Amino acid sequence: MKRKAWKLIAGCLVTVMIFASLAGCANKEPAQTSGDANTDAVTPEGKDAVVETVKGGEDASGGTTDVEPTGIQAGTSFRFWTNYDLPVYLPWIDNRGTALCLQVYDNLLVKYKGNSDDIRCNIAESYTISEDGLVYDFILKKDVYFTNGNQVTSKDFIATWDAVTKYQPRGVANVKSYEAKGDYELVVTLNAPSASFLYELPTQSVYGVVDHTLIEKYGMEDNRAAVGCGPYYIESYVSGEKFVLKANPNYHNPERAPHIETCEVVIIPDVNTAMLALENGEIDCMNTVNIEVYNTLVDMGWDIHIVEDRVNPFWLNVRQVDLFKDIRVREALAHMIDWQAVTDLVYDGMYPVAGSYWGDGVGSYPYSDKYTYDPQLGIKMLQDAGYKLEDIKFTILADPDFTDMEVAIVSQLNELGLVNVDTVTYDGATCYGMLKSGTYEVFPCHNGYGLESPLTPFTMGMLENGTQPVMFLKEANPEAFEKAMELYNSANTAATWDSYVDYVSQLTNLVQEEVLALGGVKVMRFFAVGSKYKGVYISPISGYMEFNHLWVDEG
Amino acid sequence: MLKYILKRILIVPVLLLFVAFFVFILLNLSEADPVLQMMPAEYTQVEYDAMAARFGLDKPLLVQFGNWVVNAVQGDFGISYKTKGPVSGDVLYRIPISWNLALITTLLMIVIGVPLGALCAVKQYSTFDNITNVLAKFMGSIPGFWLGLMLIQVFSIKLGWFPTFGMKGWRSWVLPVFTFLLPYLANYLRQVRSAMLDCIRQDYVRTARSKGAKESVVIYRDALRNALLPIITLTGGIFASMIGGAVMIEKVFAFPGIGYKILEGINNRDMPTILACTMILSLFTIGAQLVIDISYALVDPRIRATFAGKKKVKKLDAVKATGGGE
Amino acid sequence: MSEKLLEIKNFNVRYTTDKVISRAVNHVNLTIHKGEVLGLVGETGAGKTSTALAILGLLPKYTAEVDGEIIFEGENLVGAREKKLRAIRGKKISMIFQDPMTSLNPVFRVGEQIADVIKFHDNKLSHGEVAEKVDDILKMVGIPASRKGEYPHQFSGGMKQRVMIAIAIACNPDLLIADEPTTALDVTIQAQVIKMMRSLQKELGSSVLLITHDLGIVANFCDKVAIMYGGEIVENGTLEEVFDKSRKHHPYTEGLFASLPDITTRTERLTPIKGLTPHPSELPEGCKFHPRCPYCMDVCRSGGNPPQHQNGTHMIQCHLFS
Repeated sequence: MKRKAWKLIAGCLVTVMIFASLAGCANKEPAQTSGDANTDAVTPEGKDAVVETVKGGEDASGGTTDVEPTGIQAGTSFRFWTNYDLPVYLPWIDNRGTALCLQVYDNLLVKYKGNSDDIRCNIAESYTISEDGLVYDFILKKDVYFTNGNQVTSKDFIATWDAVTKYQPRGVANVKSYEAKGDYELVVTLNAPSASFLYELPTQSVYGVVDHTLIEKYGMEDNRAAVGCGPYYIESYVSGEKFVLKANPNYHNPERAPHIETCEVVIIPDVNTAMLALENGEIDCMNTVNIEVYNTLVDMGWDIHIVEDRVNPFWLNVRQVDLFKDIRVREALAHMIDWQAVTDLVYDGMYPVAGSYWGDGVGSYPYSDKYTYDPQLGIKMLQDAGYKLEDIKFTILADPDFTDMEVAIVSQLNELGLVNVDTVTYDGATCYGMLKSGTYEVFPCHNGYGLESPLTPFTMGMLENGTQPVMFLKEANPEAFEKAMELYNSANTAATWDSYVDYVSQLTNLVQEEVLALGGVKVMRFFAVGSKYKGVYISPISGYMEFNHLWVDEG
Repeated sequence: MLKYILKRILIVPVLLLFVAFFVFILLNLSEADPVLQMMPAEYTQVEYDAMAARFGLDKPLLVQFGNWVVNAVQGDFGISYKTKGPVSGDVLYRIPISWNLALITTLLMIVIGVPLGALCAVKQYSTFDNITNVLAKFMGSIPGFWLGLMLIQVFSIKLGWFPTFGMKGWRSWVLPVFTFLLPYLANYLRQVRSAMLDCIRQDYVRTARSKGAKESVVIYRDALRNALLPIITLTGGIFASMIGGAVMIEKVFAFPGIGYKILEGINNRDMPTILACTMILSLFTIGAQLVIDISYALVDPRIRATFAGKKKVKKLDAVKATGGGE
Repeated sequence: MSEKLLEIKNFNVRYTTDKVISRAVNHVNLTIHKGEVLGLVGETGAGKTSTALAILGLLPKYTAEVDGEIIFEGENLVGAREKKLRAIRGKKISMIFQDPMTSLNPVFRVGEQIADVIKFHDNKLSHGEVAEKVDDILKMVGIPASRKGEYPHQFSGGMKQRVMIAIAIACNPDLLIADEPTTALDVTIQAQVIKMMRSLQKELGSSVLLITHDLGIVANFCDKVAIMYGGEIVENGTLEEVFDKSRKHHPYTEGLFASLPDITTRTERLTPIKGLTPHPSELPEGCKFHPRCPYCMDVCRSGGNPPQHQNGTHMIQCHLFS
């Protein structure tokens, strides 16, 4: 009896294994064949390969503008993947909605084709800035219409900015007043001159203009008010499923006129499902910072466009950990991590080692030799400072995205004799909570760095009321903090972009010299886009893609 | 009976209130300050206070709870901390999806599980029983998300029969339902089998056989009717748990259901969403319990008797009294 | 002598569970004549119920193994087709079980449970006719027909056993097997039930196989008695033969009687049989009773079964009489 049962179990297990292996084979076969067909895909080999990234204003798909169609290509569609839902899609509600808002809401100016060096007029016909850099005067085009037919006037901007003041106060933080002069002129007065203002309120789609009659009618939280004048309009939204966007035939800006008739923003929470959907042709594009997903996509034969994302420096909590108050300890630790080995091990060398806290972007300043990898020097510094290696005791906080990297760092430090360094992983929200309350020891985060807002990390991390306290310069070195605050204020009131960048760079240098973080690697964002789509413009750092430049190469 | 049902229905709001209060207190015990979570990078105390006031978070806890109850009764579950949109519509939209998924799966589970489980019990230790048992154990231990992805791989990509994700007509339901069903079915089968085994071993089944009843009558009428009691409890419980329990399925197949919503809510410390989902799930659980109790009475006369009017109960007591000594 | 109704010849039952073999019934020979009441007496685990269930073909399919013959109305029931057995069950041979509390299905009305057996064996009867029959039968067992719509839990133990009897006699069977029909009942109720069974047996003329360990009931009710021990019939004869103290008996039978109180002589203590009934999986060699037998001899301890000594209708299986 029993023997019979065992035979049965064994038999069943074998059958199951056969099925499982068959399923495994089924998984690989098509991938290999299609992989062969696309050998020219970007496949960096080995750690020395230079990662080719897509720059702003550059068509990642390699399409040429001379064959770019004019007008809407009838019957074309594009399906874009996102993993979260956006139940209310008014621009100011949720800044995760940028991927969508970018297509639906237009602003006065535009960062043309994702290139931050190319700010052009959009709804604004022209603008002037007063000599003291405080007054911005925008003249509006007179032929701009919302997709419901209403004309865009200064009233709409005033109503939109009223909502922004309530929901996204950061956008108007430096704004003293805004007023409409007649129907087609807007005057914005700032508290202090600001070099980055132009990139913010008049440019960001989060502050895109919405029909004021609808805001008055439905309020600031009702989707019925979500009517913009962008290249696309939302035809339908199914909660938890998708947004269907239709090209706006009366779009005002010929430079940005849409080509693809229907775009869908498809919500799939699970990244694996998204990959399968991409393979099955049910979505046309996905993007990720996950190296595993990238490798799978490459295996599947996808042509991957790589865009530079933010750096996540590993910040040391000087306030919480007494040990970190000693700059010798901070510097010694910075010498002891081999970031190249970390990226080779965890990211196949795909994520380059950052040369600064902010990568190579605006306001970055290269590391001094305080960050060169020299473990013996690090150990010596610790010993000279009178520390035993086992005295160095801290825990690196990780959200699941960073666990692998932190394990690699911790094992490096452990091997060097810092046996009491450890790491712990919590879910994203818990980490975020600990970050906000400042109750962590070491944590990697970019603090909202952007090409147009290089000062943001300091605002969030260094100022007293910052929401993501990571730069505890005040505790580390009060004098340096005084100096940093001076630089910060100077940057904030800088009238020109160049002087602004200069101040931010100095500030970065100051923070780096104080070794407030251990350094980090540059995160890369990987875009897989169906090969028939041309006009793929992706903005670096923020990783946004505009649908209106896309077109289908029918040839 | 009617009076009993009425009583049970009347107690539902009280139960819900307790659940809501419990969840509310529990969520407020956590450290995270919801206002802080909602604030942008830089803010002033004035902005902080404005945000707190907008969500009513500046008031004492009990007042907050009171306000929530008053609004919830009118169908307004507040504004989500995360999406800043009203919770009610978003959550309500998801109910039919979760409900249908649970219902279809439960029905299939009954249709397949009960006869198969009964058959296993009847043919206990036979080859059929052994194979089914091993298969059930195997199915029960397959992780749902893995199975889902494998099924997509085979049936969507390789064979192209069903869409990989989303809700695109009836075809979209096949893979999610199947993935959802399998582990539940495995467990269900074994439970039905053991419930049936209990009944098959009962003396009254032997009596039925000794009366010359056909085996099928013995199993599907005499035994199954008695096994229905534990099966109903099991099924009702499973159904209630399915409505909120399809998190993995909803995630893998991009099905906008309640389960994933509540998970998102918890991850984002989004109290209005959590509370709204909890209320709905509690309502379903209480409802399922009520249906279970009513079905009990329909199936088992002994339980029906306890629902009967006072007169009958007295009579019953009298019968019991005379029978007690025997 | 009247016609043989049931003849069990050299009948064995073996159970196999988890590789343990239990020999529950061993080369049993029994005969029941028409209209006769046979008492099958023995302790728990002696194989009485197995024998009874085997007659109806109700032993568990996968664990029980039978061999031998059970001849009923000239046909062997051992290995008979299920369909044939079904036609006999309830109709020609019916059974009353030990525990009326659990033997009735709790979810069906008692009327339905009685009607079932009638319908199983005669599907031509109309609804009304069946109902009429049910009423009649209920009356026969002393239950008002008005209670047929009630459920078993609304009946007392004695009443439940009456319902069981009603089910058993519903088709007027030739053989009624009563497996300890009164064990679960109160003493006063026991008497009522036995009395009723006796009168019904007389009225219907059925044969009865009464399984019991109560010698008092046997004396009251039976024509013939078989004593069973360790799955074997150790003594077999008419009521008078077995109960006659002047005759020689099997040591086990003697033990049984000695363990009964005697009203005529005042005894301080009853004399129980020493030791315990062996489990059917651990039956000893030789005579199954030898470990407990006061007259045990060397010859009893090994070899096969003791010889059977037939004296007219009286049979004893023991070495003592060799």
